[in-house]
Parts: sequence; structure tokens; C-alpha cells
Amino acid sequence: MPTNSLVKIRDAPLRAKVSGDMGVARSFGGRRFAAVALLSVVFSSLANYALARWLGVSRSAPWTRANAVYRRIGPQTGPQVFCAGSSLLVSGLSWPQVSQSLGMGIENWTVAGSSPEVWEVFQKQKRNSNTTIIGVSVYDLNEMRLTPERAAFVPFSRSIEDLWSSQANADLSRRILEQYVISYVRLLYPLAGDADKVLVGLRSKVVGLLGKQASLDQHEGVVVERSGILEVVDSDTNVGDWSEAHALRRLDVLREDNHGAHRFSNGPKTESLRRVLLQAQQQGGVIVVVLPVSQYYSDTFLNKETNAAFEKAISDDVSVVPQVTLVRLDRVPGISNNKHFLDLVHLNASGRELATHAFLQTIAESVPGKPLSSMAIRTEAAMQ
Amino acid sequence: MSFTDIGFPIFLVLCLVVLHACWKLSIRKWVLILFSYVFCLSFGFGSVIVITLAAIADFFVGRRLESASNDEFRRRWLWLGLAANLAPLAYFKYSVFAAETFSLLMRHFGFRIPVPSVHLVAIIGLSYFTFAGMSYLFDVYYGKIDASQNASDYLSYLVYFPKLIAGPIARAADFLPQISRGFRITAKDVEIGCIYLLVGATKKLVIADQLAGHVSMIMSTPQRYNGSTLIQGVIGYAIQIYTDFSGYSDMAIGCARLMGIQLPQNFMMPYSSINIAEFWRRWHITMSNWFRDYVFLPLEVNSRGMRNATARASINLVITMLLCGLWHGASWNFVVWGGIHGIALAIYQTYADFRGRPSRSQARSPFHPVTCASRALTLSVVLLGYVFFGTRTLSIAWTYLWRLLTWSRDGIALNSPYILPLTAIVVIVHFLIGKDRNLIEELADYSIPTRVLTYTVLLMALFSLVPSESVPFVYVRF
Repeated sequence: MPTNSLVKIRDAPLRAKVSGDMGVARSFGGRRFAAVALLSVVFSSLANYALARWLGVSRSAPWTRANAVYRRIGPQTGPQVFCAGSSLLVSGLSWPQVSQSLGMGIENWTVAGSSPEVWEVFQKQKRNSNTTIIGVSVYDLNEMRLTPERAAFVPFSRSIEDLWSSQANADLSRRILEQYVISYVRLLYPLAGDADKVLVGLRSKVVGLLGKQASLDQHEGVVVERSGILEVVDSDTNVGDWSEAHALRRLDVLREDNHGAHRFSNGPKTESLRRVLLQAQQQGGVIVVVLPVSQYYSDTFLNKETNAAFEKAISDDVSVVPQVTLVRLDRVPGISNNKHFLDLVHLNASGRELATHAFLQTIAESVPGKPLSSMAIRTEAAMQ
Repeated sequence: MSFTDIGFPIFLVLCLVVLHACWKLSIRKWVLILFSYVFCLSFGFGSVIVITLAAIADFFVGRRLESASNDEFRRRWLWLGLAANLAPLAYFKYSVFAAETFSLLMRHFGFRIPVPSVHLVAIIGLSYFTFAGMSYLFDVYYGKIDASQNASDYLSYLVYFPKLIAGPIARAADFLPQISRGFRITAKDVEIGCIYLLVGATKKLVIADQLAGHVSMIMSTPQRYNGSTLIQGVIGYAIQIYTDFSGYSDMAIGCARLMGIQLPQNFMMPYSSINIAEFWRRWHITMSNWFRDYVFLPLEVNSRGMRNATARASINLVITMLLCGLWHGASWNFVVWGGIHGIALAIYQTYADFRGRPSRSQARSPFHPVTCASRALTLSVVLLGYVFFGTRTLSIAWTYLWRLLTWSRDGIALNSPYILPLTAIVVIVHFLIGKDRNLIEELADYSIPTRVLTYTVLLMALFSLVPSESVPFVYVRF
């Protein structure tokens, strides 16, 4: 411990007042600071917009939903299948095969890392639908992981209602409500709160400038898709080839997203999923697909209690609608193997092949020869 | 509510508007107390009760200390006041640790004493307001300051929200006169306050939070990583904890400045230090000054009987730093960390007494070979301490140290894309800015183009590289 401190606590000197006893001085100094602050905000905002443009990060105003990508496949006439799910569902099945098998067109609005609150918004817009395929997983239904662009899609009042009725805790409520503030901050600074996207974008640009091809698996939620068409481009990449260090870094990103925890109750996702199921039932047939996650993911984040909580959540949710076909793709033998995954949560070509085969088989066994809209069967054990 | 919550700027602006809209000083004080309580309440009701009881006890004892004429009575009142301050700290922070240690000790003697499983509520800022209260009592006792005659003044000192959760540990002698004089503020104060907030937020959100994930992975499971990853981990931790805590302190100072109150500096380029004593004059300054004034110096006074002054100072330094370690948390890791720093300070003290302090020319030249070697040695000691400070248990710390020192090759090579670039940025800033300068205070006097450019760069960094969710401040848990 130093006996002669170099640093002395300031003696709190009285500083000259500029005007009156209180308040910010209305002096030239005050106006000059206001000008400096305003110019700094304007220039930094312009620079932020320029960087966002260079990195290709598009932002829409909080009151629009421009960041959803509409995709479809199959016949455009007649009733359509509404595909409610995140990129996990999009990459989880071969949609041309599913469409062909069902003989119907399939529509989806893809939002990166979306969850039931977002699907519900698009479901309400979809009128010409008589079948709904809902894709869920431990990743999607985890209340601790928030959809990055949630505030751009889910009305504020809806979030408040759901947080209240689900008795969500203060921390989760704060995280969700903060997203609305960020969505307005993004009017001024479009990259605010999205450091991961900026860093990945900068890295890709630098790698590109060096004449190399940037890897697309640097960020979770990246699924290689042909824009506009509900079909995933085959990729040979598989998590099994990742180095342990790479896997740890990616797991760390997920851990930051979900705060290292999984919870499937007391949150808005549970509330929304039940409404999605009820709405789907009113429109026609309902197929709930439980999607797998990679072995890395399971080993890191899931345990006996988490799995039991997920099973209970699924069972409670599907009990809301008596007429539902439950397809447990997560129980297809061997599907969780890392070699079947493009990243920690998205299936790759081989995984998709397994999943699609199992999916079509279950559907066919459920109601041979009957249209989906008339199905009233639960086939939970079919994949065992 | 944390400084990095999105709700905090709204809370702060509301507080400033109401505070500066009130004309009467007495109302302003109560407005400040009210907002401080709202802030405190966001961490739980327990914090509100404990801090209020502590404030009442301090205020009452302070008055008694001043009015009592008999030295014996004054001493008794001081002990009573100290006990009232230390009791919550002992109960909420150390009781479980003490029970576990006692149980472990008894097990060696063949007794099995189960540790009661109790869940104690976390009292936010407990260590900080306890130290603030104790410093007030000591200062009144030693006649350095007059006892506060106004309960609202003292309450606003103890609960003042910018310094509540993690300091700086402001002294009553500096704080109370500012409160009683009124909250005077100039345009320059507003600008300096805003710069402090901006710099603090950038340090915390852009540097510390980016490092947190990878550093935490390495520090929690060192057995998985190879030597090069472990050295990255501890360097990353050094940068993370510095930017996290100094960022928090800057934000606290900035908030206070916007209210017209000056809080003391807590950090002054600590990693530029050329010896461990200088490090402690630059790292968590308000805490190290507290330990110097209220632990080390009284120990020195009370051990005057020892002939060898160097040995006496060395022993007192080690005792002081062990207590400093324990202050950080109820864990043996912190005690070992304190011990490492205590021994290093004692060795330096002995060396300095034997060889004399470094010459001014050596101290001034950052590239002088002796300066570079001294700095490297100082940082090595600091990094060694962080191995214990940043790990959860002693066994993890030993594993870390062993694998690091033997440069273990078996394990994952986690080349973090953040640790080395962000370390480089902090090192460059340490070199570019003179270690005795406070650039934040100087900036407001620079030309308009320079200020606009600086603020633009800071805003740009903040709003481009801030993650969507912040990591809790490291020092809040202490």
C-alpha cells in the first residue's frame, strides 16, 4: 500500500457560477456545446448509415415489417400451407418434396431467429390457408433467447399483455421492452445493438478485400437460401468438421443470446404459440414439427431438467388443440449427430434428407389418402 | 437498474430535469434522495432497508462523537458506529463463507458441523456504502470534519445513486460540502459529464462486453485450453476488468458531474505503472486510499514499537492487502490475490528503502529499458494476481497457473478474434496519452473541430459495436 499517494482526492473547489444558483448556464459556452453535440450526433449518425450500407445491413422503421423475407414453393392456386417457423424449420425440410407430396403451395415469411410471437403476426395476415406447419425446437421456444428483430414485428401492446399474463420475470420483461427502445434508436443509428453483425460483416469485407471467400457460417441464423424460393441450397458443411475452438466460439455466441439458460414457461413465446395453434386449428389442419438441435448444442445447454421442461411445454401446448399431428423429428435416430448440422441448430443436406423422409412417412402413416385439413390424429410415438 | 440498461438514460434525464427544475436547495436534496431510493429499490427492498439503517446509525453516532467530551466515550461511540456498519457486511457478505470455513476446519479435527443452507439477499453496494460510512465516522472521530448537522445531507451522501453500486468511495469531507453548497453547474460541467458518460459507456460496452464471453470461457475451464490460450485469457481478463470498472467509474463521475457534483477519480492508466506501489496509486484509487488511511496508517501508528521500519511496513502492507482481498469477496481466491499484492508491495518497499526510489528521468521516459522492464515486471505480478482473482476456486486457479507456467500444449487453441485486437487498442491508448493526464477533463477546452471529431468517433464506436445486451458490471458483485 503506498505511503505517499501521487493521486490526491480533489478538494472539491467551488467553481464560478455562470447564471443563477441553478441550471445549465445559458451562456455562449452552453450554445457552443449544444452545437458541438448536435454536429457530433449528425456526423456519427451519417457515418453509421454509411457503414450499414457498406456492410449490407438493412434496417426498416420500427412500424414496418420489411425485414421479413417472403418465400414460397409449389402450386400458387388453391389453399396454401402456412409454414410457421424460424430458419430451423426452413432448413429442416426439403420443401419442394413436401409441397409435391402434399400437392399444395407452401408459404413462409422468414425472419432470422424468429419465434412464435413473430409467426403469429404473419399468421394473422394469411387468409387463404387450410393447413399450418409449425416448427418448434428447444432453441426456438426458449424464453431466454429473444428474436433479434422482435420489436419490429410484435406490437408493443401485445408484448405488454403477454408479459403480464405469462407472469414473466423482471429481467425478461426488461430485455423485451428494451428492444422497443433500440428499434427507435436505430432510426438514428441503424447498427445500434448489433455488434455481432457489424463484426462479422467487417470480417467478411476484409476477407473479401484480401481476395478470399468469406465463410457464411460465422453467424448463427445464417441459412443459405435462394431469395424468394422456399428451398435451401445444399451445403456440404457440417458441424462435425468444426475445430473444437470454432465450436466453442459459436457456443459462446449462443450462450450470450440465451444467457446460458433454457426456460419454456412464464414468457410470451408460450402465450403466442398457443394462440398460433388455436388460429391454425380454426384455419384447418395443424402439423407441429419438433426439430432437432446438434449434439454440441444438447451437450452444452440441455440436461435432464431442461429436457423434461421442454417435453412438458410441448405436451401442454399441443393439448390446447385436440386435432394436431405431432411429428417428432428430434427423435429420429441419429439425427442429432453433428455431421447432420450446418451449424449448431440448422440441419444440413444430409440431416434434411433424414428429416424430410421421416416427416413424409409420418404424414403418410397418419392419414393415408385423406386431405390434411381433415386430420385428427396424434402420432407422437410414430418416430420411435 | 444498471448504468448500461436502456432505462437508465431515461431515469437520469428525468432526475436531472426534476433536480434542476427545483428552486429550493432543501427540495433538491430530497429529490436526489428520492431518485437514489428509486434506483436502490430496483435492486430489491433489502438494500433500501440496510442503507437507511446504516445512514441513521452513522448520523446519530457522528453527532455523538462530536458532542462527547470524554475520550473514552468517544472511543466507545466510534466502536459502536463501526460495529453498526460492519454488522450487515459481516452477515450478508461473510457469514456463509465463515460458516463454511469453520465447518471445513472442524472436519479436520473430526467434527462434522453442517453448514446451514440459507439464501441471503444481495445488498447492492454494501461494501461501498459501508466504507463510505466508516470513513465518515473515522473523520469525525479524528476531527478531520465536523459531524453532519443535517440528516438529508448525510442521507444523500450515503445513498447517492451514481456512486451507490460500485463507488467511487467518495469521502464525506469532499462530498458533504458540495451538497450543502447546492448543485452548481456550468455548461462546461455538462460537456465534461457527457464526455465521461460517453467514454465510460464505450469502455464498458465496446471493449469489456466484447471480451467477456471468451474470457469467461477460458477462466472458468482452464483444463480445456493450451498455454497460448491461457495467456490470452488472463490478458483479456486484465483488459476486461479494467475497462469494465473504469468504464463504470467514468459513468458514475459523469452522472454526478451533470448534477454539479465532483466525484474523485478512480483510475489513472494503471497498466502504465512501473512498480506495484504506483499501480495501487492508479488502480481503484478511492479504495486503495481508504485502505491506506484507515487500515495501513493506523497499523503503522500502532506498531511504532517495532524497531525495523522496513519490516514493520512490510508486515503492515501484507495485512492491509489481505484485508483488501477479503473486501472484494468472501473467497480464498481474493485472499490469495491480496496476499500476492501484499507480498509484492512489501518486496518493493524493501527494495525502495534499500536502493531508493527510481530516478525521475527513468520514470518519465516510457521507452527507457529500465522503465520497460519495470513495467513488464509490474504487469506480471498483476497478471499473476488475476489468475486467482478471475477464477472461481483455488483449485481452478492452481490448474490455470500450472498449465500456463508449463505452457501446456494439450488443449484447445482458442484464438479469440477479440482479445488481442482490443488489448492492442488499450495498450496504444495507454502509450498515446500521458499517464498523468486526464484527457476527459481537457477535451472540453479543445477547438470545436477536434471536439466534434472526437465525439463523432466515440459515438460511432458506441453505436456500431455495442451488443444488444450488456454483461453485468464485474465490480457490482463486490
